[in-house]
Amino acid sequence: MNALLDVQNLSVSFRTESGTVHAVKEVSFSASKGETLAMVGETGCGKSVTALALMRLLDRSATIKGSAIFEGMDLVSASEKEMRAIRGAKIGMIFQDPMTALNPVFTVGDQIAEVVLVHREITKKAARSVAVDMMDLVGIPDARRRATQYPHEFSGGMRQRAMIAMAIANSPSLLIADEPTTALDVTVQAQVMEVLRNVQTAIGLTVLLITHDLGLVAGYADRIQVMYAGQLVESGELNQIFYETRNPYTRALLDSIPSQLGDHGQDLHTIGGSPPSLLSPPRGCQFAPRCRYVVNQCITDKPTLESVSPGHLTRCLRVSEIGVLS
Amino acid sequence: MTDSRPENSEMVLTDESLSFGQLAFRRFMRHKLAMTSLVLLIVMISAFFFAGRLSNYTFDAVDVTKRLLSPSREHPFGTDEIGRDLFVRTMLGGQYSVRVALQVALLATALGTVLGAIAGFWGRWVDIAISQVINLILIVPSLIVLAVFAQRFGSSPLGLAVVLSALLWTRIARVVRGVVMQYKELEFVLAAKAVGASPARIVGRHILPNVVGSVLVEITLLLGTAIVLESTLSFLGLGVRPPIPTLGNLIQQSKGAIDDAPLRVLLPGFIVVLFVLFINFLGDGLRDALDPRSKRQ
Repeated sequence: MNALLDVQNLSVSFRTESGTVHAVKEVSFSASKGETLAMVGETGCGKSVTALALMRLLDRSATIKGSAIFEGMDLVSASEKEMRAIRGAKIGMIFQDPMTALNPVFTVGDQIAEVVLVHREITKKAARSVAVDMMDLVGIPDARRRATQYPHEFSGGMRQRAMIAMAIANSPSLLIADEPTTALDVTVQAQVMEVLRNVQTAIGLTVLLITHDLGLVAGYADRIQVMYAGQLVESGELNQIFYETRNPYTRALLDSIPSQLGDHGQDLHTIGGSPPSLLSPPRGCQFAPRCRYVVNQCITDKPTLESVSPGHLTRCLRVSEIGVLS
Repeated sequence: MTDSRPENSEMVLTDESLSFGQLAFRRFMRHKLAMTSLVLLIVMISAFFFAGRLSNYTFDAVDVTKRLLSPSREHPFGTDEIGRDLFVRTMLGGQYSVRVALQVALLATALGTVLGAIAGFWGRWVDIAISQVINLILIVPSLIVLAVFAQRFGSSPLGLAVVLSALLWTRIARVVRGVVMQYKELEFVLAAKAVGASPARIVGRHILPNVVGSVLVEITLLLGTAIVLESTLSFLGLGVRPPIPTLGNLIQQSKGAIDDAPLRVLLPGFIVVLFVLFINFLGDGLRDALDPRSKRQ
């Protein structure tokens, strides 16, 4: 496999006043050229922290361990200067809320052009025309005129397109999209994902898609990894995750997707309880307190990631007993 | 069916793009009190700089035969103990006071912005160090410290401006520090880091433009304070020394005449009060205009 990004045993912890929080624990994964890898999980399970750790955008209270080899360079141990050369040039990032991720005092065109100017030796005028081309590419109509407008004149969907344009302005090889559609309407979500897909095929981009929305992933990702309480609990091809689910947490997440046809009169399926405190995590399986397949052993023993079929990993003590969950 | 289009032309959607600055400018233009103050300030300042030149007298021309005259056509503000024309002296006094205030604004803003931005952006020990210096300057009784330094350096207008700036930069620094701290946590700053911008670029290009509004308001208030402090020190005899007139030392020189010729004291005092009042109205108008949440049209 031709891995563009190879993450091994990535751990992130934060020092806080009430103790050390282990937000990401020994996460390993790799992404190959051109594929879309989705990272799925509840709020607070470490998805965004993983992304920010790869970009080294966490603040000083964070400690990152492990390695993340990207195009031959370890992102974990790279210097701040090396990281500045990578950010925005080789790795682009899109944030959750396009309403706040654009600077209100500059025109959208200027902001996209600036990304180009930071990394390339070209004139302002050339950078401007790159910006307009990029806005064209992400489907912003009348790009030349829209480039002279300010963020407050853009709708949410258009701003997210502008963010995508900014992230890909220097043709990066990896794009990290952190909840790119969460702040948008459902109809606009579909358009933005369509833009992302077009851009991906146009410039051969690898996308690390971070989301809590399995419905979004279903139509878009090649591979999925499910995270819970800072750990990978299941990873595999799209079909393996959706149709040969082996992990109880993944199953519970899948059951929580409301049916489009509507189960009239029925309550929405939810997962009872809430994720464990990362300050004092449970001794055994992290999901045990909320799992419906729980046995005594789950409370005391820690499960490990096991391979169940080629490319399909799961973390569950009872994996052989419970088999495929449907 | 009647035509449902809004009557008010401002309600009609236009294609025109307005930057925040343009919107703020419009709001300011419609702020009557601030616009009036601005016009009157311009009139006063032009008078300070040019009215004296129209007179037949100079600020230090002594004519002992015309001592202590009341206001007349020839001497609109009268004359002083040694027969100098008080109109020319008052205008020139205003000119020196305004000059000192502008120098203070420039120096204090430069120093305050740089130090405030550094403290706000880098935080930790840099912030602690700068903040403690600011606190120290703020808790020390300013008039006493100023008196000591003004005694030593304040006899020239520029020296006085430097002394006042050394005190007043803290006000700008506190505002800038606060705004920078607030903005550095916003997502667009993280987004700027995510595209590889350096810290200097982030502060300079992304954060400081957002600070301009608050600083502008603070500068206008600072101008008022500088004029009052300059007058206070000169009145106490610690600021600019005669024969150079400033509004403060003009009041000081004629304070003995408050009973028989009150106008001689009141005119320069009145000018100080009006100037500071207009400056403050202007600051109010700017604050309203630059508030992005302002819906005022």
